Amino acid sequence: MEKKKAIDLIKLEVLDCLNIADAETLHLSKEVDSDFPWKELGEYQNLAAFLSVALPLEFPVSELKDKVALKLYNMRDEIKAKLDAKRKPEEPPVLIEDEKEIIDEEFIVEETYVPVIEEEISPLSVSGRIEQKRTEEISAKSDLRSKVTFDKELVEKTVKEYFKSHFEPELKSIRNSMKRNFVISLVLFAISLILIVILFVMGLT
Amino acid sequence: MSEVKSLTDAEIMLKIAGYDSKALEQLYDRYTPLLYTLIKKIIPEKETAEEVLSEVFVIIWRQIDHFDFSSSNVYTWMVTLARNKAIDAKNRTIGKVTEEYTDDYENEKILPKLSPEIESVELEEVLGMKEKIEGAMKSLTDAQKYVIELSYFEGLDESGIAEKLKIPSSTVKSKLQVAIGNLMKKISKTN
Repeated sequence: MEKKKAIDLIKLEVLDCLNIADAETLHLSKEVDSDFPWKELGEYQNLAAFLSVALPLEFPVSELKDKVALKLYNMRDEIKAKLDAKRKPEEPPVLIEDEKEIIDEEFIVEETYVPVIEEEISPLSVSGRIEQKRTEEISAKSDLRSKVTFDKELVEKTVKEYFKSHFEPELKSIRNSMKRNFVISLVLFAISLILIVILFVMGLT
Repeated sequence: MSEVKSLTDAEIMLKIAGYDSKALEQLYDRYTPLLYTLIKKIIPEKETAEEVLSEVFVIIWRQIDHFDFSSSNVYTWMVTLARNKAIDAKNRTIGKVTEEYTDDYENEKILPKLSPEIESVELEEVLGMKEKIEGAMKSLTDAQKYVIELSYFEGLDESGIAEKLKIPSSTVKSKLQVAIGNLMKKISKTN
């Protein structure tokens, strides 16, 4: 396809306004044209995204953040299942050959996780740009690996962290007031006991 | 939290790829005003707009492996994702979209497909260009602004705009192409 025609279609695509026929033409051009204007596509995609900046800003209610956190907490099983599903086809058959390794379940689990994590990390490690900026991130691959490997722990940790950062001060004050109330009750109990004894003694005399 | 505050958007995405909840919280704090503004423009109803915004962050958490770390264009990925999700929610409300919302549907229709050669932009950088972008928008004619509004913010397709403005589809196409082309010229010139 001619470059100019491709750019004309790109202009419509970034505004999400391509008809079916044009969408197919552009799709085909992306697939087969070696000189497809990818750079221009990127420029127009950025331009379309800039349009939002011209709008007057609005803010959602602050409680929405907690709602989002709750939604993420509720999907912990889904993420775990997703990671498990990814792991299954990666299990190396070699491990099954050695009976000793089968007995050591923890070890096998650890081994089978490794290829999956490599797969997940690979798109990150090819990024030259990010590699330059955050070499320590990439060199901490093993740290990231352990995070994903023990995803159950990670989910729990994530939730704990969230609760810690959002509810810890409140919990602290509740704990303190409980302690205070306990001491006051003890004192009151002791006073009541003394009064009963005094009344009893007075009654006897 | 203060540790992630100093990170770039791309670095934050990298941390989210390791399921770092604090990084996601930081991304939420940074992008929420802009994304909520965009979603609210598309869906004026407050509760639905908030629901869509929360769904956007759920998608980011679930589909972080679909983010292209080689180009690392967080800004355009986030904005396009929010826009796609909001338009989809709007079209479902009015019955324009009835297709079941599955993972495949989400991958195909909601997750952005950015050019592999796209230049990386970050929120702070774009906010710094706010005046330039507003100026470029102001330079467009009312008709040009209106067709962009109808397509990008109202999600109308070519035939929808043609029907609304009572003009041929070919005219809609050329108006949109001229409008976005002029906008590009203005912004490139000021840059």
